[in-house]
Amino acid sequence: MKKRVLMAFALCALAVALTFGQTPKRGGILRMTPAKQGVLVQNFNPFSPASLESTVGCFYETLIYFNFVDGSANPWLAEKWSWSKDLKTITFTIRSDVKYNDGSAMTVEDVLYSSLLGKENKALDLSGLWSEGLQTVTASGRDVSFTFAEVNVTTLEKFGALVVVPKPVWSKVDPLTWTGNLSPVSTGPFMLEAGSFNEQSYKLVRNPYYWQKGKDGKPLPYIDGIQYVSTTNEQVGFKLLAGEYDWAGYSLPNIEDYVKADPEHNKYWFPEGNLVFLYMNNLRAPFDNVAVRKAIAGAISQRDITRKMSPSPAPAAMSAVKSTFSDIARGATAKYDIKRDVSKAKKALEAQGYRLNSKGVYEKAGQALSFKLYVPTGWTDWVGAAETVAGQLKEIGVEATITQAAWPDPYQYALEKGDWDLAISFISVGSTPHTQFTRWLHSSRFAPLGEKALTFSNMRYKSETVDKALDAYRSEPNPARQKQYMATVVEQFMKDTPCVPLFFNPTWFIYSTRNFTGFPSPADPYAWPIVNGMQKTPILLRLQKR
Amino acid sequence: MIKDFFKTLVSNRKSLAGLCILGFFVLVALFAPVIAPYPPKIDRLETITAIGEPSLDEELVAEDYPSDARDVLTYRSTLTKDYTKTIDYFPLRSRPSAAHPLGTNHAGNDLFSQLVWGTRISLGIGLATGLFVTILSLTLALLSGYLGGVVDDVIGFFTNVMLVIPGLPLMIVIAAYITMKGVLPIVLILGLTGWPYPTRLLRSQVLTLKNRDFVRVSKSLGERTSFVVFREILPNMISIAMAEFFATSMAAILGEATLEFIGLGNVTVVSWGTILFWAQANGALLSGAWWWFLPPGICIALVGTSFVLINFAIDEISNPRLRKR
Amino acid sequence: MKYFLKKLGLLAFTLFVSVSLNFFLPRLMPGDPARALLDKMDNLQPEQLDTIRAAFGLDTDEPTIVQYGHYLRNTLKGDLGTSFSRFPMPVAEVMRVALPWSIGLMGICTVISFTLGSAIGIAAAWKRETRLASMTVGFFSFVRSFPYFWLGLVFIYFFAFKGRLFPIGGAYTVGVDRGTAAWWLSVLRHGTLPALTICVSSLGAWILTMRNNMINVLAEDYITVALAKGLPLQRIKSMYAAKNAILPSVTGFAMSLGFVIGGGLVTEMVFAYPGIGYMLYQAVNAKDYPLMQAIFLFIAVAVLIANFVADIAVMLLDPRVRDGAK
Repeated sequence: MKKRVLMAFALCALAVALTFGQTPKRGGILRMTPAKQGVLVQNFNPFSPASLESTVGCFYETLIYFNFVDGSANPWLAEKWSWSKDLKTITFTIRSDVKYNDGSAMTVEDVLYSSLLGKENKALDLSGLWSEGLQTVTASGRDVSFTFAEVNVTTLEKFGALVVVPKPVWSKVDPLTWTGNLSPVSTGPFMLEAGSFNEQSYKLVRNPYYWQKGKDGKPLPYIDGIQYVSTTNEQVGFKLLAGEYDWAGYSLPNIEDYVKADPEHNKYWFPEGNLVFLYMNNLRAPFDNVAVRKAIAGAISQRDITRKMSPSPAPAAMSAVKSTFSDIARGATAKYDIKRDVSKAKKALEAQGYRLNSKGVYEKAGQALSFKLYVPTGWTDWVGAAETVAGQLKEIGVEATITQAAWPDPYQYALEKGDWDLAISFISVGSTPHTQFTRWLHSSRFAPLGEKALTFSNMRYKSETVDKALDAYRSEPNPARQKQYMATVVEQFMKDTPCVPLFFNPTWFIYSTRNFTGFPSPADPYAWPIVNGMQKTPILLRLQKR
Repeated sequence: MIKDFFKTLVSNRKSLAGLCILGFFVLVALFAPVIAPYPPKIDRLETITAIGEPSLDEELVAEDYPSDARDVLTYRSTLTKDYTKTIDYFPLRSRPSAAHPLGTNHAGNDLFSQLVWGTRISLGIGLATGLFVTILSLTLALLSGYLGGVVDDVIGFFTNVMLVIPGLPLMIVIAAYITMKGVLPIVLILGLTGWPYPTRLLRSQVLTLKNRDFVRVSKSLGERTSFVVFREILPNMISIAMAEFFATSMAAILGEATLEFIGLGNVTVVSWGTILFWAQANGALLSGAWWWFLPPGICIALVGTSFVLINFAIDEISNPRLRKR
Repeated sequence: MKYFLKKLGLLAFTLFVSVSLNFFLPRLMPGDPARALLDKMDNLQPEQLDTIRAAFGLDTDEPTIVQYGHYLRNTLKGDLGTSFSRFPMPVAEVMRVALPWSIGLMGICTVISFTLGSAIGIAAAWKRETRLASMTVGFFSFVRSFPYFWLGLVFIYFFAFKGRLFPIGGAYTVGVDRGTAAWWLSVLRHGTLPALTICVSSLGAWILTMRNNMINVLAEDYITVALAKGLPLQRIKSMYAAKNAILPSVTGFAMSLGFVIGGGLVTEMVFAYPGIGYMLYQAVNAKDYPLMQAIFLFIAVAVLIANFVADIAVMLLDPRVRDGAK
């Protein structure tokens, strides 16, 4: 009898423990660094290019959540979607339980209104859908349908940038120039604490009407709010080591000192961000000769460049693809990879008819391999990398003189006009390799020397094989076939070597688990920890007080 | 008079100290290749040990068989020798040690060598700017003060407008837009933002001298304008012009360091300012790497102090009241 | 009177030229402000650039001279335009937030270093022969030769980071209600380290100037007469010598007050102080013409007014100038 009572008691206790173990801890104010330095101005207008980074993600939300880590599309304000048979129309079903932070309900009208804003005024087209061939948007019941002129399944990810704003508020003002959005009415998990905004800080508190629920059945987020306190590059090191932030999106050169300050709690994770590479102007001699390009690639040691940078970013492979997508580059790498080999590079140049002149620089027909290497002024890590690159090029008899030019002009201007030989630049890798390579190599963005090429497409390189594969990808919904197309692109890219990938800019994510747990990490990379946009929202919703 | 001038300069204790410090740095700058153990941007040591004996290789390069009775064969004969190259990379961000008395920076460059080589650039920019500004402002002051009239009004007007624009923001505006190559742009930027104040100062001195008796006498005697300016007025301006030279040079050295620190200078040259820039960009102070962050600042301060000390003596020369009683 | 009017006229004319320079200078520089703002965005379409440029008012076909006219008229009306980098906030709003901090910190520091520096300079001149005077002068000469940012960072490291005597940065403690006594206290605490650094750096210049002026004055005949007459030393020191020694410095002091607004860039970067200096730096990088123009305008006005006040003050204080001007 006693034993059975004990057993029952134990089982009850276990049940209670299990239930309480599920109860998440609520409370706590997360201390974050704002991306903007200096004086903060109260701008939460999502259509303004100068809005604060908490605007989208903390206040406003998007139709779907497109995860940049694995390229997956997840339901958010829309609970499901489907493509039509001809792949030209996509229909989203909108959630019915979403409320704004003033208690009013979000309706399909609001979604329709937000989608149509970009039609008349291109500056309001935050998602870029109207420039991608969107023709009409219609609503019926809880569904909103978007019809495109051509088949392009890659537009799905653009819905991850379609911000939903309340029509009753925004239809009364000019969205682009409205400065009155001081305490936004929005669907997001946070709202502004009244009176908390001043020139160096502001505080967000939780939205009591938020539509997502936590494990305990009550609305998310678990944390009570976020306190933003601005800082500068000179100050942030001191503040981080003194433990004044829980989440910082700043670059910290001596990150090891940060970890040493509190080894148990202070952590960091720098996932690969944008790709930085050595640009060669493919339309200018001698870079129009693929052998010369390959020789230059043979002089570069990415490992040597990155180990001198602090903290060391991830070196890039010659395939220019992020490590999470490396399987599409396997075939190409086996065939066309170039490893650093100084003597092989020198021999290749000599085979092209170059001879060393008295200064130790290769020369052919009176033209020495001596160029200006453009770097943006003041970008210290790139300038350091450029110095290493120049040293490596010197070893194969190519002279690169580092020339700093202010960003974005005249640096970007010179690149676009085509008036340059070598430069260090970056490509925004976007959410998938398709986005990256389309931006980079597609001939629709190409322009001959003297005319302005589109952003990022300044290499003056184009290839029909690449174009065909990229275009075919757009109308192919099957992921396996999509990968094959990308493999073709990467193979052609590596075969032609139009540029030399160097390293991936780190995404700055420095955090401490002293007060909160639930941050993403290399072991658990569930979200991409950038402070702009929707990428941070799943993180903010998962954080719990310690 | 010039001889007396220098004699006074040396006999004054303060200026002697200043001259010694400045002289020390000038020597360091001149003999940098001898004093510094390494060039400023080297990050490795390569040693070659020849181990092989030379051997003759022959390689068939081309063959031609013009007829049954003739072969034409082309050979390439090369002399080869095996050798081993050992590359020892300098440690990155290391503490002071026997091999590197001030440690190394983020790229493995020896910091002591950088400090020594940097003397050339920092001191050079400072003195070059000082010279540039002094000559420019002296010319403008003489023209404006002596000729008077329209010339004075025009020059005075430009001086006033330039004085109203604050130096640092103007420097930022200019530096943000030009393409930096070498150090000449920095000298120009510092010079073009630094000339108004000395010009004003020197002009008042010219005006004071113009009304002095000896100048009046000279003029009434019918001497040519150039004679009056160059033989009567200019020699009396030497001391104040030199004071301005040193003041401007000091401001230029500090200005260069500040420009580099903000990132607007040329961060690829090695000067005291750029050493500080890279130190801050790599969190040197925060890591406690005082050997990286403190020496350049102290050197800048020492050079600046030497200028101030020298100026003490110059003040005393031009103003006998300041001399020790 | 004529002196007064002539100075006023010159002031107005110089102001006009500065205002015009403010308009033309940014436009002479290469660069597109719309690009500067949108360059962070990945998906830049040319149409978006055009729309933003139109919103900035940059796509107008009007000749530059007409734009210049608009600019002059707007400036006179007090309409400083809309900031580009903080679009669509009006420039006046953006500056209103930062101005008090610049004027407060730099202004107070300038006054403190002038007063303290002059006092020390006078004392150093009066007691020339003593070692204390030489050492003080030598010490401050050495300290002022350090680059300001270097001094600031070292002070933060030792006094705020290692030894938690002062806050690391910022202008006040976050979370305290503005305007309360606690808030003002936090403002003082946060401002101490920046103020200390600025004053330590600039004391040297004032000490030296004052010392030289004072020594000059002490050698004058009327001081010898006063000594011979047997007047109390304290009286001679303050009423006769110091008063006359300050005169030449007044102009310099006024000019440094004028530069208070723009000169705090390095302070604000190193101490994260929300002032105008750093704002100007950001505006230049972002090619924010309206903000740049407005800040330069403020600086020009401040410096010119300061100069004007200095000239008037000299005229009032120095009978020689007053009589000479009649």
